[in-house]
Order: sequence, then structure tokens, then C-alpha cells
Amino acid sequence: MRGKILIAKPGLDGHDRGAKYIARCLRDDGFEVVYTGIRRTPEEIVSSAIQEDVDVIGLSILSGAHLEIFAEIFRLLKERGAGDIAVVGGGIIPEPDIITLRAAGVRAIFTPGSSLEEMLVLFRELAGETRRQRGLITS
Amino acid sequence: MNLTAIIAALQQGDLRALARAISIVEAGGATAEALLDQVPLLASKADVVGITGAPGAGKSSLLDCLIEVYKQRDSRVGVVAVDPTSSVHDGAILGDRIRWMRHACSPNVVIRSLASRGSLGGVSAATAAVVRLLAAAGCRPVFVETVGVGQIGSEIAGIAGLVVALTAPGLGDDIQMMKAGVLDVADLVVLNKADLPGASALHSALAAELEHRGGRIISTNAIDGGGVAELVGAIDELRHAAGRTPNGHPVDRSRLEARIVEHSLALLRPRLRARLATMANLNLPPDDLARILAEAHETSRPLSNP
Repeated sequence: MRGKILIAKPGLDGHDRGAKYIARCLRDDGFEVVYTGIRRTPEEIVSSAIQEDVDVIGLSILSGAHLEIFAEIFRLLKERGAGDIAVVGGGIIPEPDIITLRAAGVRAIFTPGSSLEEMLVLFRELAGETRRQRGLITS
Repeated sequence: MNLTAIIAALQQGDLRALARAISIVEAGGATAEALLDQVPLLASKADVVGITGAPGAGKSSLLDCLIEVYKQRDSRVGVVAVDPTSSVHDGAILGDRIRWMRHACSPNVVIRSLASRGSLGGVSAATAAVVRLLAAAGCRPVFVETVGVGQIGSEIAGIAGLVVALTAPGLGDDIQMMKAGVLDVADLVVLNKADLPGASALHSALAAELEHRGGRIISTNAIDGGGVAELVGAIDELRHAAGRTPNGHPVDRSRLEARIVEHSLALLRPRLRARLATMANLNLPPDDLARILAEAHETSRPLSNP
């Protein structure tokens, strides 16, 4: 077991093929993946991530509301003392916004054309980092 | 890591501490043992309700209806949901929570998804311990949803004081009902999707099967909530009459014995796993394997020779 990941689709966007594909690929790479489905609120996502004690949250957003949604996710994580959970994103997100989101703490943004291998390597790194911090793995 | 502080916080109802304690217990090993030493044992298994049945029978959807009822009561509701770990890839999709997202922000509902991690009995090795942690955090009752099972996978009987087994039309005829399986350990049998064609034939087959040992069939429809009130009534009745069947007769001896065996195995399994986990190299020479088997025998001796 490499780590525990929550994959969610926040906001008003029902195109979940990408999120499901990533969830399945993470499963095949040895992760335990909680998939929470479409049209989730930031509150639902953060509350679920805390109860499941996940290492990484992955959000798929194709609606254009990424700046607002990521800001709210970070606000809630901080408010509930869960700032150690790594957050990554994927979807249709313009280059200037990627720079803004990375500066705000999103660990990576994947857009169409990103390689699966590159994503898996990042999830492994982030999950390992979080689990070491939490004392769940020692190596 | 200060285990005493984590336990104190979870007993105050701190969800972050509870979630962390569960992760520690799932990881196993000496830290998990040290933590569990400080967690009170379950006061009563009547507070643990197992939900089991075939994949797609509607366990998660029906549990959604039950959570809605129990969350209105005084105490928190705990839910432990087990989904299968891939035997090839070692990963898992934990897809039960998606049925319960309307409860995600409810302060009265605590949900934790677990992967089976190699266990074949329908729950994971850590499940019994996770239930104890939820109970210590004030959850009454704690529902445990198993992996989709049927003909094998009755370990839930060792963990829950009350087992609800679901079936649905389209999963098999009366011969299937006669086969051994989760029906053997069920205190309540639920015929879900009772609106579908084939429900009345299934009801007859179940009734014929239950004739041999007593027990009650409740028909439900998790989509419109039909039968849920009756199911809640039956669950509450059984929780308050621990050790008795719905007919008021004492639980029959062979089922009780089977339950004791399952319970003993559930206690033993994490200890064996913890011992194996301390041995870093699994590419073992024969001498080491012999030593591990001897240790496994030692571990199990107090149970086999009480």
C-alpha cells in the first residue's frame, strides 16, 4: 500500500471520466483511493479527507472555478488543522492560473497531455512525504 | 508520537485524532499494539451492527437510509466500510462513501473506509480494532459494511453483535439459498430491491430456508425508503435483547460456537500479522520460515489451550 488518496470533483461540472481514470490508475499503482464523485462542496471534500486521514487530495476541475475552489479548500484545511494534507489538481486550467495556484500551495496541476507516469511519480512522492511526517512509515 | 494524547483527544470526540488513531492501527506493528492497549474494550457488542451480502445487493444504499435515521438520535453514528484490495496491484477503490455524501458534513456521523488488505473474510484484519476506536470516540451504534460476500466471508460474525444479511432479486434461485454462507450467521435477512421482478419468488425461497432455523425476513427498497422503518425497529429490538433470536428463543448453540471461533480468529489475525510485519525480509530462508511458524503456534496457544 503506497498511500491513501481522495479524488473528488468539486463544483458544478459532471465530466468525471478523467477523475475516474486517475482513481483507477492510482488503484493499479497500489494506492487506496476514496472516490467521492461529482458536484462536491469544499466542505464535503475536506470533511471526508479528514475522516479518511488521506495523504493527498486530488481535485478534478473543468468548470473554470478553480481559483475560488482551491482557495476555499486551503482555508478549510487550515481551519481544521489539516494543512499537512497535500493538494493537487487537474483539468482545464490556463497557464497564468497554474502559476497563481502553485504559489497558493497546490503541489501540482495536471492539464490535458500530462503523462500518467509523471502523475504517479508525484503521488508516490507526496504520499510518502505525508506518511513519513505522520510517523506511519519510517523508511 | 504521543499515543496518550491521541487517545484523550479521540475520547473527547476529536475527529482528526480518531482518524489518525485508525491509520496507526491499520498500519499495525508495535505502535498499533501500544495504542490499542490504552483503548477500552467494547462495553457491548450489541452496539456493533454488521451489514453484509453480495456485491450490488444494495448494502451501501440501505445503510445510507439507516444512517439518516440513527443520526437523528442522541449519539454519533459510526460507519466502517470495507472494500476489496486488489490481489494483483495491492491498491483499492474505496467506493462506499460516495453513497453517503449527504452525511459528509453531519457532526453526528463518522465514516471510515478501509481496504481489505489481503483478508478474505469480508473485513480487514484491523476492522475489529477500528470499531473499538469508533466506540471509544462515542459512536453508538457502529455499522460495519463488509466487502461484497455471499458463500464465504462470514468473519463479520466475530465482530458484530448483530448481523444483517442483504440479498436482492436476480442473484440466484432456491438452491443458492440452501448453500452455506452469510445467511448462516445472519440475525436479520433483508430482501432489498423488493420492487423488482422476482422479489416474491425470492421471498418464498428465503422463507423456506429460514424455516430450518427461525429468523425474520424484511423487505426493503433503499431507493424510496420502503421497509426501512421496519428494519430499524428490528435492529433496535435485537440490540436490546442481546443473546436472543427474534423469536425470543436463546441463540442456538452451534451458531454461538461458530461466532466464538470467528471472534477468536479476528483477535488472533492482527497479532500474527504484526509479528510478520516486524520481519522485514519476506524472502525467507527455510529456517526463518520454521521459526515464524513456531511463533505463530506460540501466539495461538493461549487461545487453543485456555
